Amino acid sequence: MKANCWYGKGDVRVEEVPDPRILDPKDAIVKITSTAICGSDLHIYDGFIPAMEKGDILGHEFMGEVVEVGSEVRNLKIGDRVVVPFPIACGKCYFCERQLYSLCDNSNPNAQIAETMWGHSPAGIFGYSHLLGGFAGGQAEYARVPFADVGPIKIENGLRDEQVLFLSDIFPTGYMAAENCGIRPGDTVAVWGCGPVGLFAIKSAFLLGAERVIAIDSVPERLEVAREKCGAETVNDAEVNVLECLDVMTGGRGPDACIDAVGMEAHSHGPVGVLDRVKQAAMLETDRPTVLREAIQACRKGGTVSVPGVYGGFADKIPLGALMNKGLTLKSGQTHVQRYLRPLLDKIQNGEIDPSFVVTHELPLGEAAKGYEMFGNRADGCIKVVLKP
Amino acid sequence: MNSFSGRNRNAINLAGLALGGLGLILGTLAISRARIGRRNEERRERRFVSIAAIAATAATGALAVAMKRSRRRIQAVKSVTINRSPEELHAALRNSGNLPRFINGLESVNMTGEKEFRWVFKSPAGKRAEMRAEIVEDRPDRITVQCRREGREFVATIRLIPAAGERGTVVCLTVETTSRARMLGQPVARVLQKTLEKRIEGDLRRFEQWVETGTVVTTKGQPTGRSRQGLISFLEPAGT
Repeated sequence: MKANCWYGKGDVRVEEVPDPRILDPKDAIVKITSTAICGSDLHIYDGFIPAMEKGDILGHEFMGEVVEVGSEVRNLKIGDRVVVPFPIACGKCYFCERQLYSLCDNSNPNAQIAETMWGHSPAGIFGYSHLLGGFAGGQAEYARVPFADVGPIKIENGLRDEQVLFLSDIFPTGYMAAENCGIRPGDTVAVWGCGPVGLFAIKSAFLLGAERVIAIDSVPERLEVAREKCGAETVNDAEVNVLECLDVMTGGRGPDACIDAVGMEAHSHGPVGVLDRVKQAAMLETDRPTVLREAIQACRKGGTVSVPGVYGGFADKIPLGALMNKGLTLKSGQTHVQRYLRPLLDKIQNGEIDPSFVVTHELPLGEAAKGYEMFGNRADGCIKVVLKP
Repeated sequence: MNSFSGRNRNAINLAGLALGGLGLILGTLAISRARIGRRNEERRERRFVSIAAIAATAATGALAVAMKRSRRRIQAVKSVTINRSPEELHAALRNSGNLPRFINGLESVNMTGEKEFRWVFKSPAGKRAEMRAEIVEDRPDRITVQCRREGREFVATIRLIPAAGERGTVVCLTVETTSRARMLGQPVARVLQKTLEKRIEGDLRRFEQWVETGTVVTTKGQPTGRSRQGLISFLEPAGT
């Protein structure tokens, strides 16, 4: 089959590799009909995710048709159309039983590596480094899905791929980020980053009862989508001081909740940003936490900072004094996608939201490298690239 | 955690070494005297040779005792909380056929007695090694297994403790063994201990996977683009 493989920083190629096969009776093989490039894939592309090996198959947002099932798979049959969640979860451990699927105890075969870095291991993730299991990803013609009874959700109606594909990651991720804010009617939520997760966080904040959402980014096309398609007020952080602007916009109180939908590769326009880049290059810190700093600083007293953006290691100058003295709540985590699949699919079916609004480019799988380059450079108004095997 | 043998053991070691050293000195002196006396007095020669033989034997014995006692005891302790009852876990552990599913490198287990087994390990290079194992303690909350391999002994104790709040069972595994690394010092023993800890940590994790899900998750055998055709990874045998 053809698969998009990682070979180094800025080097992804679609290569011919063997088809996947059932390795465990709980596996299923899915023939992929649509797959997408995630913003977090760009962290791999840019060389910031450790424990990658040349030849690893990328991709954790995919859907398709079941073509083979293991002998112990009960919920799926050949021919089912499914969306596959990006975290791999066993459904049986302490964490899965509490619907904390992205913290599954049993799905990362390389848990010892993750424990060395983070103390404990989260769940395995498709196509996202050997730190998180080393599973072959879904930017391919076929993918093997472990614990197939627990993850994939069947799509049994006429919804298009683009309407349901993002149930695999970015829609639930944006939704969980907003849910973590504990939004109450009348709340104002600030969202840093108007990429796909940020846009879904804006939409979700409104769905959960926020009165105002303020979106922050430096790409005019993305701010326009946040404004026009999501109903957010917008701030261009390349033009104004974000903290001063939010202070004025919220009457000096600050947003009730702040969402960091940017993560480890935040851009900063001041000397602190330059210092972060130098430290990152010198391996003195792994992440550039510009947005996290701003979110903590901007958030109102007693508010919540929610972090769906990906961080990998260590960062400097996090304003813990502000976090503590303002009594903030900090919430984060990889998304427990399985928990959100059914309720969010219902919202799509009910017409409350059409996730396909984020798609700006559709390319054949063979042009994945072009998609990564375009997405990475935010070129041509690129927000979301869907690949068709 | 690494365990020293304590003052008593150190005293015994020192005494053994001193006795051995004394024996060697006496033996050497006796042999020297025997050579000198060969010309003059046959009877004195025989006496010295006898003393030399006794002293050399004592020296060898004392040194052997000291060497044996100079082994460093290494202990590794790891625990995991498993979402199952102590009774289920005890039953899973007592079924010896299950063990190769989660003990790293264990290829097969054969019963040789009521509580005695022959474990066959296979290294990644394909080399096989046998180990005799005996269950020396079997209670609902504790199983102790004594293993011997090429003169080296391992004692593994598994304790099954109900977790707080009825949140499964804490499985605590302690493995003790000895190493001749004592002469090489604490840093080497520390490395051996860490290696042992990593090994039992992996075994415990696979045990949790297996009892909770009925499988041990693997990626061996999946496709990659590592070689142009991906054949190297593709031809790897699937894991358990």
